Amino acid sequence: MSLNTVSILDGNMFVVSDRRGDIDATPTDNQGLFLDDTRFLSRWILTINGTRPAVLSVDEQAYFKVQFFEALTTGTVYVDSHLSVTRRRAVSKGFREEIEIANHDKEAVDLEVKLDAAADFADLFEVKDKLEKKGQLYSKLSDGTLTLGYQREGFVRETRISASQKGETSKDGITFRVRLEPRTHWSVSFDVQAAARMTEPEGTPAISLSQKEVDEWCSTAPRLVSTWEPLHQIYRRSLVDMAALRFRTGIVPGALPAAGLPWFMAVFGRDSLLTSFQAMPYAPELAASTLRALALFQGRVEDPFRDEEPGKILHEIRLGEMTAFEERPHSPYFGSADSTTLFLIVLEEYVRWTGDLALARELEPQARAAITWIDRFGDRDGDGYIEYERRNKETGLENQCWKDSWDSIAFADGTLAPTPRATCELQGYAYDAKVRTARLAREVWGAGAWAKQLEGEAAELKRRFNKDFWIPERGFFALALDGQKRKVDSLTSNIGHLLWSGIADADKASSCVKHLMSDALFSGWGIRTMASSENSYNPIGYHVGTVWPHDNSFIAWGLRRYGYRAEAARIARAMLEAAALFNGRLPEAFGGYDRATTHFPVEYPTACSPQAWATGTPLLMIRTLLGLDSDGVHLIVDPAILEPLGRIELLDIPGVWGRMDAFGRARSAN
Amino acid sequence: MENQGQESEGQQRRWEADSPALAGVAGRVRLMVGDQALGVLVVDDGHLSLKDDGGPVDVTITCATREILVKLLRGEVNPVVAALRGDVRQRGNRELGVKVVLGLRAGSPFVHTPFDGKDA
Repeated sequence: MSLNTVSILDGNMFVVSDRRGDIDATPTDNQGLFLDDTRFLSRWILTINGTRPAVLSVDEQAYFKVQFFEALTTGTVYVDSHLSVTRRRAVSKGFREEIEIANHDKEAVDLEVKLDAAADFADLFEVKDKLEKKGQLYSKLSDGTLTLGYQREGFVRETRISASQKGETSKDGITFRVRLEPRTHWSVSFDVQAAARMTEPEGTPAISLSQKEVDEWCSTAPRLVSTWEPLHQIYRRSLVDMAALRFRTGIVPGALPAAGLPWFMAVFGRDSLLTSFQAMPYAPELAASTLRALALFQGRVEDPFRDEEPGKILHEIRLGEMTAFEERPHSPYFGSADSTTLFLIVLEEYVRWTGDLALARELEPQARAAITWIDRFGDRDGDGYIEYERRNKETGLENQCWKDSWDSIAFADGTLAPTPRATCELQGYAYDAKVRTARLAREVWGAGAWAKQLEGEAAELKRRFNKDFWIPERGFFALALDGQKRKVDSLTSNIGHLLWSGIADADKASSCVKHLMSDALFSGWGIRTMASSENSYNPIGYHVGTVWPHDNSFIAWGLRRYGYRAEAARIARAMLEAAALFNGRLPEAFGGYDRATTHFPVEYPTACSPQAWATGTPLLMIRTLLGLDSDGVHLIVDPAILEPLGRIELLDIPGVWGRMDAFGRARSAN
Repeated sequence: MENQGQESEGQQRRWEADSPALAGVAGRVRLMVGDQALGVLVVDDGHLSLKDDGGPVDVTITCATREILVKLLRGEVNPVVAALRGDVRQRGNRELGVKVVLGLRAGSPFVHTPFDGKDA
């Protein structure tokens, strides 16, 4: 998000304004009131006697409310302003805004206070791609309420604006004529309601949270105590942002993490699953809701438009007009080659942490369907590896791994790899998914023979992978096998995910660790998505050189798995230090510039913030530092902490054991 | 599909059939067009019966037109698209409603059932 904008959100409803509080959407400024991937307000501008007040300061009180302090300036430093303006805004099923104007003068003033309002009802895809509307916009006035609407066949969306004071309502806003006596103030409040739900209004689509509810959400998470003071702010910010990003589908119980503000306030298979994994020791209920929602929409048929296949877990659900008229395939869209394996990984992780066997039994059919997808549809050509190639050539995703930008899968010389692409981490996830599913099969579903079969398949996959993907002359695993089964030989962060999954042989892992911690990959702030030695490297390239916090969190956790405690702690420390410099909130990605050249991580221009898996990153990093794991019965604690992080205590960690505490402190031996 | 489109029970029109795509799913779904209730779809672990019934239900699915209802029963409706366009609304246990519509989409036993006139 731009530093010149202010965002507040509640579930998948959010308001993006300028620092005055005004909304003035333009092709370059994506401001507005958004709900269900639709912009319900594109213009919301306050003027007093025809002048827009100047902002003095902005008080972002909570993720769902903000105050703007303003004044009607005279344009010269020699004449003080006598009119101050305070705008207080809170989002929930639309937003409520109170505007208070104070006259500090000794004379009375006559004011024309006007709120200009307009709504373009743009689908988020239209905003991004700058497309024209196909339906009809309308407006109507009734009992002082201004309704702005849009209709295309049965697709009807409306914004209703009402005020607490009687004003002159027109089709483009509401005007008040106010005489303000000396030393007095005047106020008005507006209710802006967005009407858009696809179901009957018996439930709320988003969680409406008060500060008390936020505090309660935070208080149910483990309590953190640290001698490194910034960690408190980082931890608190992660919990609050996680609360903000929770999203209710209105269909399955509970809330799951939406992917991020502003473009991704939607259910994403990969994002919601990875975030749930990161949050497991803190809020395991997120995983339960995520698994249930994704299981409900698991693919059932072969549908090329949606890249849907039986057993596949969705990539993304969108609720805007272009989805409604099937101009985009997001109802849901299944263009993700890793969400199915991640579904199995998170299911086993959740059951091992919580002991929730009921959910494991409930989701056995979906788990079996997911395994079938891996072997039948994920492996498109029968070579034993998951590879992807979109079947929807017009609007489907070209890259269906987490690095989903167009240029992310390239050879070391910069040449793009032809499809189908079998990226390395997909194979790691498939290996881990089968190993974990085998455990559930044996211990929960009473399917010992199937468990043995899965373990055999996983072992065979590991054996072949370590032969087919290894590049001996460079000493790391190929980023992918391309459509011609050539090894895509660029050095990338993907090899770190192989440690998380456990597919790498120990000797090869050792060589990969040296690369991960080399100057080419490790910037000092984190591991770059692509090494600086590669031809495609760009420190501000989305997936070809930037540092992604979530990527680092899984790599660090993988390093712990292979026993590289100090290396894991080094990455965790660097990322937490970066978080402190971002005021506790890590962005989706930041620049890959070397730490020796900057005293702070360089911002990536269009990074989402807050973004769910970036929000979850400090949580998984703390887990990594404390070495937290579950063996299905006990909490395992095995700290490896570097200075200056000092001592870390995490109290009341929920799990199958009830609540337990973990402690760790830095040791010089680390 | 087995037992496709059987009719029974005298004056009451009733269809029964099996849908493997709805195995493991159970519940009662009232089907409406506008404000008119047209019947109840009883799902019992893959066995479906569609009948006139005034009893309690888990979820009510309301279609904008009779044509949409027939399409829904024949598995031709994407529940997300239909809901966004205002073609289908649900009240009650929506998780069950979505499961049933998605299950029908994956394999409806009513593909060739002649829902005629007022009986659908």
